[in-house]
Amino acid sequence: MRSIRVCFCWRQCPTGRGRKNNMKKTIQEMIALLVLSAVLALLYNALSPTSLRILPRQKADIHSGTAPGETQQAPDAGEQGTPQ
Amino acid sequence: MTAALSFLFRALMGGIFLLAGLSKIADPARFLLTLRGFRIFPDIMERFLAVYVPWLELLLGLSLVLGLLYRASALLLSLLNVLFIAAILSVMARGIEIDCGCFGLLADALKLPDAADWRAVIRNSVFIGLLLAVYRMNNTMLSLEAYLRRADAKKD
Repeated sequence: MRSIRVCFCWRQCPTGRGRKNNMKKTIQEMIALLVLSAVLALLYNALSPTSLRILPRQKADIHSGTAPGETQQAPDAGEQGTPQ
Repeated sequence: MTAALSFLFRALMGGIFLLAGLSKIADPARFLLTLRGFRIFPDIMERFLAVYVPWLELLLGLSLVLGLLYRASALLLSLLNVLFIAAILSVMARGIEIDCGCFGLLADALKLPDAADWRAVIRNSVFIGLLLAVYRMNNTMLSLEAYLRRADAKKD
């Protein structure tokens, strides 16, 4: 199978097109790394016993009498080690 | 010479961010409290960043150490450090005295200075310099990326 050759550094690229391809490739790699770390973080957080609750609890707001969206100033009881 | 220097910077920066990420992953609640101290982001964003940033540091650090996609990692980490500096300058401008939370549990264990002050800004600026040097340098030693490229060339 024939592979596409992309130069790894703009200094090695003879044309402006090569440089553009190179930058495009770096940006694609950066996006891949950002997405991969987000997936790993969310997966680990879902499975870990020391996970953080990312989405706010609507039910807790109703029981505590605060309006939805209003943040509670009380310390985060149950923030850590909450059973999923 | 350039290859050795690039490897040295890569290993140093990769090691630092790998350990920083691990120490924050070990205690996410502590990192969340640190983020709250900055008083920059809304609650839901703070929670997401407390989960996301340590993993981003871990993955980028690992990528630098292994030498796989290391140029993209170096660029991303330097951008991340620019954001850290902006956050530290923001709390300094508002007169808030907090820990920067840069090294999480590691700061306690090794008694590292971890306050959000000028020292943190200078340290992060040095990091940016080293990371941009890694990004700009052509050659590097002991890189998985170079090994894969050679293997690919042999196959052709």
